[in-house]
Amino acid sequence: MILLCALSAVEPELPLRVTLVDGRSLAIFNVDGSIFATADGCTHGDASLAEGYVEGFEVECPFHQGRFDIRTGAPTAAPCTIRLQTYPVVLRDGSVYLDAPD
Amino acid sequence: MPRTDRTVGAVAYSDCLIIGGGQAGGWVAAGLRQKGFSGTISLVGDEPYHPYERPPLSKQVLAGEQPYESTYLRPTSFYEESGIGLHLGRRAVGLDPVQHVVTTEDANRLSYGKLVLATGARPRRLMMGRAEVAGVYYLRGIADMLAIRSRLAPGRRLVIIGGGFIGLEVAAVAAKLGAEVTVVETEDVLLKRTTPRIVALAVQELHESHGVTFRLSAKISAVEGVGDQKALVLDNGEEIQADLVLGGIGVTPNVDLAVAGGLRVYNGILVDAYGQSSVPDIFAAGDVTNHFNPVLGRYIRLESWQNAQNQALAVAGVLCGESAAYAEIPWLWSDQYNLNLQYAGLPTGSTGEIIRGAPESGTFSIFSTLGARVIAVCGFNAPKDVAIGKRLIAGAQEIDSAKLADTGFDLRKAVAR
Repeated sequence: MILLCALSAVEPELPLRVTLVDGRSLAIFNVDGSIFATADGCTHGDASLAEGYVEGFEVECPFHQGRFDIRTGAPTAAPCTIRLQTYPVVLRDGSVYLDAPD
Repeated sequence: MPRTDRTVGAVAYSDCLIIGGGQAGGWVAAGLRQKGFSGTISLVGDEPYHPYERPPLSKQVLAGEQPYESTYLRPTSFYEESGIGLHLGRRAVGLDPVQHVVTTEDANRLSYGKLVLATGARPRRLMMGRAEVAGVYYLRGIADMLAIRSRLAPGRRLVIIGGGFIGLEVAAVAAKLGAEVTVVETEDVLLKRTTPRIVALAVQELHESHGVTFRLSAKISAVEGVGDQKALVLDNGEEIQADLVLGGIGVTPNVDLAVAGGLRVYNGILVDAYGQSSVPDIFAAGDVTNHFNPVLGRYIRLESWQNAQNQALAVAGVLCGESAAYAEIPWLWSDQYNLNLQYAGLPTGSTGEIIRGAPESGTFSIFSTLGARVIAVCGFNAPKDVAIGKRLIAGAQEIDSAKLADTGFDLRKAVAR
């Protein structure tokens, strides 16, 4: 497991961008206490989804206002058409971990 | 009740006939199928291309960074697979709402159950007196883009008439390609119709840093020369030599067919919030409509990607029996060099402006307010502020202007949830 951040660091309105040692950037979301992780980069334009606007289980890209389902990565509003990578997370002792081999 | 495809005499019948092969027309067709429309659908477009989005034509596609096929809304196979009959490269010229028949230039008669006019707009032509100036290029469609692109080259002198979005986007691409670009604008500032002055000045500075020159408050008193080579004479007597002249002075909605059919037309086809025109069974969507917007409480004609897509989807929904009005805060963007300009709402009638961020920093936004409420926002490399601004406008909530101006405060926390 890879430590991503403290649970308290992910506020509901404000997703958190975490960059892994291998260079990948993830966006960590808190929807009513449930934590989700996706790739941070929009699949349409060059934008950070951690800077996007979260509404329910959707995040709206700040660049062209396309949307994705945070849970599945499915694009839900144009102009986004390409699925967003999602990552499994584990909560333990007040921290958020990526459920992946170290 | 869905009817099967049939032909009555020489008249081909469609349950839904769409006129216009741009973004709006394409989205009506695709939206109908997405929403479960089971009747027959035909689309008539006067361009030979499959339905496409226009914004990249003045950006990445004009720059040669992307092929024009990348603007297609759907793969070309989509239409046949979806049972949408395409009649491309054909112009509709006649409309008889009583008989429910549209006539094409090549004398075909197409009858319909429901008709959607998505005929778009055409560039306003540069006139000298009552005569159109010949040899001026305009950018609206793929063919226009190809003609302009083939004439852009390092050292070419491009003169652009009009400092609006199209003119400035082409200026940015041409300057990057090494052309010598001059923009002539009648107003004393760029983007006057849409943009706060402080933003417009920052845009001008950006262009100047890329070598573009401007002639503001300048009127053209004569255009001399035949073919592409022209000499433009300004009202102050200055003469500007051009290897290519581009007109970017706005558009006129293509209402000819609507007028032929007796629809109510005023600055576009008048439609309600459901896209319904003044004539039964005839709807309209996209740039051609002057539509009632329930959020703004007024009629408006918009020339934007958002409107072309979402009004079309709303009309498709109405034709499938949905009851949702098209009610959105107007939103648009322009890309020039690495600049992303975005707008939401309409600043008309605002009583104040709040600036967030410093113009010198290259990232800032202007919130236009009416009393304690935000009614419009313009972001200079600040799309996040615009996304939030859109919600503040929609919620009509009162907002603390100190928070709006404080870049240390994350605006996402300001939206009432």
